[in-house]
Amino acid sequence: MSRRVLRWWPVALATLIVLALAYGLLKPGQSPVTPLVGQTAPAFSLPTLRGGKISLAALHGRPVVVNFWASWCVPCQQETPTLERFAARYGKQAAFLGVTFSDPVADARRFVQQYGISYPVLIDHRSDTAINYGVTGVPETFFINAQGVIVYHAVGPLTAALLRKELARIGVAVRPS
Amino acid sequence: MKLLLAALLWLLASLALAGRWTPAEEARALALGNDLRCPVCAGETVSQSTAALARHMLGQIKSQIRSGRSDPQILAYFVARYGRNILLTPPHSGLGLLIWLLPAAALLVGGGLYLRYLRRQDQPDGSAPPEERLAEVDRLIRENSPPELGREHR
Repeated sequence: MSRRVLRWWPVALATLIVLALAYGLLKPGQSPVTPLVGQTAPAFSLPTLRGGKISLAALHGRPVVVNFWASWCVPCQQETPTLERFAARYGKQAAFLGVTFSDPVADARRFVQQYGISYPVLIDHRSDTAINYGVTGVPETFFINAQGVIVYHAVGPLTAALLRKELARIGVAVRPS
Repeated sequence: MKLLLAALLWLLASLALAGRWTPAEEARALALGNDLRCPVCAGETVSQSTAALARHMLGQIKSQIRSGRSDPQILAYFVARYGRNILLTPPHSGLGLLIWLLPAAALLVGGGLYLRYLRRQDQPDGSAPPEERLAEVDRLIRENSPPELGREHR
């Protein structure tokens, strides 16, 4: 290698580092993907707002949608009517479950009444289930197939298009809108 | 009757103590919490944060300590759920190892280059002007100087 090339390699290296840092800073933000996608969904057994308990194990063999929400969360207020509509339509094929996140029970109850939520809402008092699912905020939704494997993890409010797509992926026969 | 009362008191006391964390357990939980990034905060560890989720995570750490899990097992539990980003320090393997080694390598290479530069400065490299050239430059200066400067020169 010639001396001229050797003289320029520190400059080339520095340029490469600066470009890599600039790419890291300027690239568009990516939604965090949980390492749990493709894994068996963590088990839970939680009390419901209406009394009684629901465990994931009891739902084995059915697709399950687990939605973490809180009454104080604005995107949750936006997505709930859509989720409720899909739960009413596909509730026989898949189990829809809401799980409260850092929310007093009284507030959660008021929210359920206000939005007419028909699917079971579970109380996760110490956020053990949220931590088990790697939840970092609300709303976050997990789509679990009939074999109990997490197929998709949605961060942010659900839309009708996303629900249609992901419900189909976990084995729900989605009708055209 | 006295014996029964004493047994009851002993049972109550042990139940009350069972719920308490020993200073060692508390210190271990805080140290582990300092290795984990609070997922809902900006630049805070689980131990530093007052966010509800961070408090619950610290509670989980304590529960796992109580159930006899080792530190690597507890950290692996959180990595399995939140990904490697949950760790405040990069792992000492794979790509993480590169992050640890790169500063040392940069220091060595930079230090080496600087030493080489210093040595070169000290050594006569043959580019110094020879005597004849110096004499010629001196003659040219004298010839091209204004008369008064030239006189001073002479």
